Amino acid sequence: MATLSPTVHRKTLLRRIWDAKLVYVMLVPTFALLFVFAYYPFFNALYRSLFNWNGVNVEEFIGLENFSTLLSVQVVTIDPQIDAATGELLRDEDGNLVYESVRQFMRADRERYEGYQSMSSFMIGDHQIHLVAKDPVFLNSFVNMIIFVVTDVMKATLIPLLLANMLYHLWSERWRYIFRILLILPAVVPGVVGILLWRDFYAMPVGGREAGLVNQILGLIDPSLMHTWLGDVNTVVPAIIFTGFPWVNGANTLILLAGLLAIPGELYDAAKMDGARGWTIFWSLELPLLRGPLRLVLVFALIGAVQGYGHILIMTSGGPANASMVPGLWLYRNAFGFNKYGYASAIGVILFIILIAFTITSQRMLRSEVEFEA
Amino acid sequence: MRHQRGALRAEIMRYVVLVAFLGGMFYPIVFMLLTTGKTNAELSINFFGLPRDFQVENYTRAFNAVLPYIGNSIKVSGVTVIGQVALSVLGGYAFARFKFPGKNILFYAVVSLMMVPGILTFVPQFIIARDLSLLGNHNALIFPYIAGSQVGGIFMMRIFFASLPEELMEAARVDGANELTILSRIAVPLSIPMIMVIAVQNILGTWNDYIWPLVTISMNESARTIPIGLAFLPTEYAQIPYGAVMAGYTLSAIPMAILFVFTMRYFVQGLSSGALKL
Repeated sequence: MATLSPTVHRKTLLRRIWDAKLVYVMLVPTFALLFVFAYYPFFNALYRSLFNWNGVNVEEFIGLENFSTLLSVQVVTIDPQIDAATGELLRDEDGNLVYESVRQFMRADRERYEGYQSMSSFMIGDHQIHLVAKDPVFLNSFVNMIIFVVTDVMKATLIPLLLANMLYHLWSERWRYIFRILLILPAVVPGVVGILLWRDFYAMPVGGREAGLVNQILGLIDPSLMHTWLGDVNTVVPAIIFTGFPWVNGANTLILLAGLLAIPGELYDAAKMDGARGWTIFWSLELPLLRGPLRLVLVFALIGAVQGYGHILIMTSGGPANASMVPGLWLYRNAFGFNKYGYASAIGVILFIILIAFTITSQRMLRSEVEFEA
Repeated sequence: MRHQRGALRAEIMRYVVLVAFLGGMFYPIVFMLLTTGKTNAELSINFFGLPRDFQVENYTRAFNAVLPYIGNSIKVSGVTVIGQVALSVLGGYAFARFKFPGKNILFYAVVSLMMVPGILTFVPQFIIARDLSLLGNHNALIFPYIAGSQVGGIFMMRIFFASLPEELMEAARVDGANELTILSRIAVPLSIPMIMVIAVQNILGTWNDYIWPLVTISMNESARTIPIGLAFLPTEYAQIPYGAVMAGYTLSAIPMAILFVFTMRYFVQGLSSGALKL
């Protein structure tokens, strides 16, 4: 027995690798594909975001310039002009104050405002305040993204929460099953059809004018309500948000329903014994216990809203006048419209940082909560 | 008694709410189906109603236009799902059942990709597809699709394989079966439901993908998949024949409807099991 030395048991690393050769062979196709289509693109995206790169021959390292172009914003305050002779405020024929144009104002200080364009303006008292940015489209698209994140998260949770609750309390097992199937059924229609239909609902030309479903219905109420919803910078974002009304999300409803079904029946009995019903049960029992599935649904809605833009590309192409632009679509435009691949990569990196920050925070939230409950 | 009546009223309210919302959800589809029977002229005077003289030729027109797209989509989604399932099973089994040097590092190298959003790798992936001369060719879809979707698949299959009782494998090993036989004869048959869920989810994803095929294959008209073909369908005409276009939308739903009928359980699970999406 003593002749068995430990080296017999403890094989060398090379020996263990050789013994496991079959496993490595099993993993070769996986990693071959990942190297070409995942790892290399990932590092290349980070690397190329530091370049002025058109994808073909222009290839110039510019450090963080793409990022500074994307994020540069300044506030310009223009005071009303003063009559040099009298020292009083200058007024035009209608009695309005006179302001220098923002372009002229910026031209006066070229060094500071090189490459800036006007983004938006508003008044504070007599002062005209302008936001100027090197890429006003990107910053506007970022504001749109925040709006869509908020509305998409609401759409992904509120109506599904309501419907899951209705389904859960339904007396008939059989009808619950039928409703579940019906909720999933629209998934057989290609997703793009839903978007194309809604584009037609807004902008289908019938009899020579934009009289899709939305305008037809509004026309029945009052013809003056009819409007070119997708063609007006003021209505295009609300119109996109309204898309898909009444925002039934079958998959999310079923995820939340599964969460409700997982609540132990004894908890309901106990709550009812305490005299709780209806809303009280919902607020103090169901909602807290649904936190897990709700967060799941919420995270996916958020990730989708930060990086998704296919529906906007189809409905408006980001227009009119970039009013419905989102960062993802601006990335797409820069890459495939303007051949600014380095700049597009930089937009991708910014969105990546936002998403990774969000994922880490939401996981940390989850972990701390688990600890709290335990 | 009063209380019961209140409960009944609540129950009726639930049906009212459910039917109202489901009605709203299905209305676009109903509108689409009604429009398939109309000419543009009828649409302008009879927007909401049933078609008065159902235009069957809308469907024959649409059928010829949409059929190649359906064929392309079946090919792309079919090849992708076979590749994805094969690699998910192999990878999941390797990580669940074997000990080998570098196992943890390799596993984290795979699953950490779940944190990388598609929008970041979108441009460099396009450059690679271009440099490999895949553009305009279905391989530009299939290979990246398999590469991306196997990540979640490996993750899920690893969990599933790890949950299988070790005694099953041990008994087969004692009978002299090698690892690949154990995988194909024991592990895979036991995991068919899991594989089906992953597969249905994968098919739904590739079937509906729009942006990637738009940039990589839409320039080749004969390679277009359903979402691309449908999005370009109205632009093929000077004056859009809405009836025919809507008929095209309708016909494009048939393959998924068939899949739905045969795999209803997995379909519902694939769409609604949240953990899988991670």
